[in-house]
Amino acid sequence: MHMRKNAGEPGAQGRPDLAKHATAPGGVDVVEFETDQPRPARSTDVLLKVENLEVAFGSLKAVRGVSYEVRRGETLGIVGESGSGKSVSSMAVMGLLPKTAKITGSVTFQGDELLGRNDKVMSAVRGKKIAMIFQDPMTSLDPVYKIGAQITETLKVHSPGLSRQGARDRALELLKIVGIPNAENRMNDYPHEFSGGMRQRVVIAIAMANNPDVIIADEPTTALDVTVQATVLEAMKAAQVETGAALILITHDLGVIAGVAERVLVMYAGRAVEVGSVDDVFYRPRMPYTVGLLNSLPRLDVHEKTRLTPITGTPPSLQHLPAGCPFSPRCPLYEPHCSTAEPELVEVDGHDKHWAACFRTDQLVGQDRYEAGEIFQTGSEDSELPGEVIGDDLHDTPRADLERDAAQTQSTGLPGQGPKETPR
Amino acid sequence: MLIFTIRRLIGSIIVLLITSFLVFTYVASEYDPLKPYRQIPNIKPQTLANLRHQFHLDQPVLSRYWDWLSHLIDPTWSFPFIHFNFGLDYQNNPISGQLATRLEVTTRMIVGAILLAMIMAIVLGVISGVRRDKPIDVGVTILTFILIALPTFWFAALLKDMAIRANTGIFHERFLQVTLEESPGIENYAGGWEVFRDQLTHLVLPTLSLGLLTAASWIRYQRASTIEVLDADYMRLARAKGVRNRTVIRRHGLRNALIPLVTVMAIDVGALFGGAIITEKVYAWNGMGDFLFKAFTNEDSYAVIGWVMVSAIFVVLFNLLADLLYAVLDPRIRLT
Amino acid sequence: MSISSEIDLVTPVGPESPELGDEFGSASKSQGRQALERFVRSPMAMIATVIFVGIVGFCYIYPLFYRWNYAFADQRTCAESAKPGVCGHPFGTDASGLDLFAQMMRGMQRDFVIMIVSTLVTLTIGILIGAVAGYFSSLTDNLLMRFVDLMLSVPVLVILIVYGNRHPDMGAFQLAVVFGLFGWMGLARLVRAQFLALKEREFVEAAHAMGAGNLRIIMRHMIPNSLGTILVFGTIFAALSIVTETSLTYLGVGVHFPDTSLGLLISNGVDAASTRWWLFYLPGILIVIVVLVVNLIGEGIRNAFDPRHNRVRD
Repeated sequence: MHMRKNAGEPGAQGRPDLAKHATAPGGVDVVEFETDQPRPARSTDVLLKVENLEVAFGSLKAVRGVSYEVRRGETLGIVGESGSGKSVSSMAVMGLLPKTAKITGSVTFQGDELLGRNDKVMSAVRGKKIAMIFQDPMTSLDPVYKIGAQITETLKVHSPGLSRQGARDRALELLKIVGIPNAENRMNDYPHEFSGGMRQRVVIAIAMANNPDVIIADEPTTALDVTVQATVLEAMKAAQVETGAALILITHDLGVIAGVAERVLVMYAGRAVEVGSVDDVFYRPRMPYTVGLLNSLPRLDVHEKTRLTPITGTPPSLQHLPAGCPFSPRCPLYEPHCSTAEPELVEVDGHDKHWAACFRTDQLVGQDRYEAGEIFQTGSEDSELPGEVIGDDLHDTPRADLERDAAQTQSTGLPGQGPKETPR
Repeated sequence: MLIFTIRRLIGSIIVLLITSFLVFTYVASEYDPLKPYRQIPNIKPQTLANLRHQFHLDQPVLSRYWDWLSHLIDPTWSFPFIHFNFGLDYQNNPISGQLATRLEVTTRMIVGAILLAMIMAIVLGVISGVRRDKPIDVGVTILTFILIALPTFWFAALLKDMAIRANTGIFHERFLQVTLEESPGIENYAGGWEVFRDQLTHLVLPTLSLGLLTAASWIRYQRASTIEVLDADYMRLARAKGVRNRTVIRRHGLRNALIPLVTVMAIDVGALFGGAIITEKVYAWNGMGDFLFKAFTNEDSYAVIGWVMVSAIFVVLFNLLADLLYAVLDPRIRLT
Repeated sequence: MSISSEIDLVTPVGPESPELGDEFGSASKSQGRQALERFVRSPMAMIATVIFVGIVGFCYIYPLFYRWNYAFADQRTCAESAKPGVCGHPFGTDASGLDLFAQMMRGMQRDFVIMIVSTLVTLTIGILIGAVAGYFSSLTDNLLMRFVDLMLSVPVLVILIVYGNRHPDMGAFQLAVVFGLFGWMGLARLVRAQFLALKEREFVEAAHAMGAGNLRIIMRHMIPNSLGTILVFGTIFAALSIVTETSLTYLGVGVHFPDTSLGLLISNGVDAASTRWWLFYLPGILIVIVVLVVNLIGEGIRNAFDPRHNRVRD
C-alpha cells in the first residue's frame, strides 16, 4: 500500500480526498466528518481557511482575530515574537488547545468547519489531513517507544487495514526520505539514541506519513543547533515536495522564512500586522514592526561595521494591551492618533496581495527595507539602549561565527544578498 | 544488566554486613537476653551463670558478633543451597524456622494489601490526574490526605470496631474475623477449602487497613506523575498524529506515568516484608511484626537481629528490583 | 509511613538571576515573597493554617481557665468512665476519672513540642549535611553521602524501639530528639541536589566573581533558593513526627504515664472503642485533624513555591 507520490509534482495526483477517505476499504475508524453540510464548489483550491480566529484563556486574549488561507503546495510563513499568538493559533487549528481555551471564528478545511468538532472527528483530521511538527524534538517523541513504532502508530491509526509489514515498509521509506542514514537499523532505536536534528527528521517523517494536505511546522528549527537547522529545513522541504502539502511555517526567525516561504504573515500581540508575498514584505515592508524585525537581522552585503538596531521595549502584555495600536509604545513613527484606535489591515502599495495594519504606512510607501529602516536609527546613538548590540561585537565569539555562517547557508534567498545600495 | 545486578548484589552484601554489625553491637550491648529468666521466682544464681555461658553473654560483643556471623550461612547440597542460621532464641529454639513461618503469615497479609493499593493507585491516581481540579480529583485528594493523616493503629482499630458492629448489626454472625490470621487449630478439624475460607475472613480487615494506608501515598504519587506526563510534548504530538484522546492517555500517558510509580512500589513493598508491626498487633496476627515485638519484649537480641537481617534482605532485593524495573520500563536508563 | 516521594518534595529553584551588579538583590527574596503572597491567597492553605494555629493556641491558653487539671483524678463515682457531658466533664473521663478534654489539650501541647523539636533537629542536620555535601568538593560530598547511605540502611524503627525499651523514663522531648536524629537523610539528599544545581547558576557564579565568601553564598543565595524544598520537607516531617509518636507510644516505647500525649490517649482508648467510644474517637479525630492540616499547610507551601499555572504556550 504505497502512497508515495511522484516527487516534483506536488499534489498532482493521488491526493486522498475526503470523499474517498470516507469509503476507504477496511476503514473501520473512518469518519465522514463533512456529511452534515453541503460541499462547497471547488472553484479554488484553498485547503485551509482561517477566518477571524480568536483564542482567549480567561481574560487573556492570546489571538485576536487572525485570518489566512493556504493553497496546495504553497508555503505560508507566520512570523512573530514569542507571545504574539502564532503558536496558539496553529494549536487552535489542530484542536489541540486545552478545554479552558475559548476559541471563536472559523477554521475550515476544504470548506468543512473544524472548530468545535469533537475528538473523534478531529482525530480523523489530525495527522491525516493536517499534520503538525513541534518546536522541541528532544521532547516531542515518546521516550519509551522505538522510532519505528512511533511512525507506524500514525499510519495504522488512519489506515486500520494496513498490515504490519506494510506499515514498516512505509516507515522505512519515510525515514529515507527525510534523510536518516542507516534507516533500516535505526527503526529499532529509541528517541534518546538520536541527535536533536535527527529526531526532528523523525517528527517530520511522522508528519508526512499519511500524505497530509497541510503541514503546520511550529518553530521546527528553533530548538536545534544552528548548524543543523538548514538540513532540517531541507528535510521539511522534501516532505512538502513529496506530499504536495501546503506548509505553514511558524517562526520568529525571518531568515528561515525568507528561504522557504512564498507568503508571509507577520503577527504582533495576537493579530496579523502585515501580510504579503515574501518579496513584498522583505523588500518593501509597510508596517514599522516588520521594518524593525528586518532591521535586527545582520546585513551580509555590507562589509563595513553596521549597527544592528533592535526594537526598543518589550512586547506588550496580552492582559494589558496599550490603547490603540499595540505596537505604538515601541514605534518610531508614533503619533497621538495611533493611540485612538487599532488599525485595520489595509491594502498597501496599491495591490491586493500586500496588506499592513498601520495608520502611518504612507510614511513607508515607496521605500525599500533599508530606507524604511532609517526610522529606527534616529536618535539611537544617544539613547542608552540596555540591550543594544553592536554588529561587529557579534563576530568576536566563535558562537557568533557559527550563527553568521548558518545565516549565510540558510539565507540564500535573502533579499539582503542582492546588489542593493547601501543605506548610508 | 547482569553485571549491574552482580555488582549491586555485592554492594548489598557489604551494606548488610555493616548494618548487621551496627545493629548487633548496639542491640547486644543494650539488651539483656536473660531478662525472661530473671523474672522466674527463686531462680538460682548458678542457673543464670550457666545460661550466661550458654548464650555466650560472658564474651565480648565483638567475638559474639563474629560467632554469629561465622555461623550465619549454612551451605547445603540441595535447593536453595544455602540456609540462614540466625542462632537460637532465648528458649533455645532456632530462629530461622520461626522466621520462615512468620514470613508466610506476613506474606499472606501484604499480598492482598499490595494488590488493593496498586489498583487504587493506578485507577484513582490516573483519574485524579486526568480530571485535575474537577470534583472527582478533589474527592480523591481529600480521601488521600485523610488516609495519610490516619495513625495506623487508630485506623486499624476503627475498622475493627466497625467490623464488630457490622457483625452484630448486619451479618448476625462473626462474619469478619477481627483477630488472628486463622481460627486456632482449624487444620485439625477442617479440610482445605474451609481452611482457605477461614483464612480469607481473617484477611479482610488487615488487607483493607494496610492496603488503604499504603495506597494513599501511591495515589498522590501517581496523580503527580500523571499530571506531569499529560503536560509532555509527546502527548501533544501523539494527538497531532491523529490518535484518539483516550488512546493517547492509555498508550503514551499511562505507560510513561507508571515508570516512577512502579519503582516506588517496589521499594515500599520491600519494606512491607518486615511486617506491618502495628497492623499485626491490632489484629493479633503472628507475623514478622509480631515476632519483632515479642523479641523486644523478651530483650532477645538474636531474634531482633534475625528479623533485621530478613527484612533487610527483602529491602535490598526489592531496591534492586526497583532499579531493574526502572531500566526495563525506561529505555533511557542504562545500568552501569 | 515514609517520605517516599522525594520527587514530589522538590520545589523549583529560584527564578532567573537578579540583575548583574546587584550581588544581594538575591532572586530568592522576591521568590520567597511571591511564594508567601501565593500562600496567603490560597484558601486551602490559609484555612489549614488558621485551624492549626487555632488548635495549638487553644490547647495552650484554655487550660489556664479550664476547671479540670489534666493530672487530676476525679474521685466521684459519677466521674468514673463518665460519658461526655456527664458529671461536669465535657468530653467525659477515663476509668480513673481523668478529664479527657484536659488530657487532650495537654496531649496536644506535648505533640506540638515533639513536632517542633524533632523537625528542628532534622532540619538542622539535614540542611547542614546537604549544604556541605552539595557545595564543597567531591571528596567531602562522597564521604557525607556514604554516611547518609549508612544511616538509611539502619532500621530506624528497631533503633527507636530498642532505645525506648532501655530508656523507659524517656519523655516527649527526648523522643523528639531521637526521632529527629534519624529523620534527616532524605532532606540532606534533597538539599544536596538543589545545591548542585544552584552551584551552576549565574547569580551564584556572579557572587563568586565578586568575591563573596562561601558562607555568605550559602546563606544569602543557596539556602534561600532551596527554601521551598526545605519548608515542604519540614511540614511533612512535622506531620510524620506526630504519627510516629502515636505509633511508638502504641508499641509502648513513646510517651508514658503520668505524662500524656495524643498517642498515649488513643493507645489507651483502643480497647475501649466499642464500650467507651469517646476515649478512642475524640483524641483520634483530633490527631487526624492536626496531621491533616499540617499536611495541607505543606501542600500549600509546595503550591506556593511551584505554581503550575495553566501554562499558555507560545
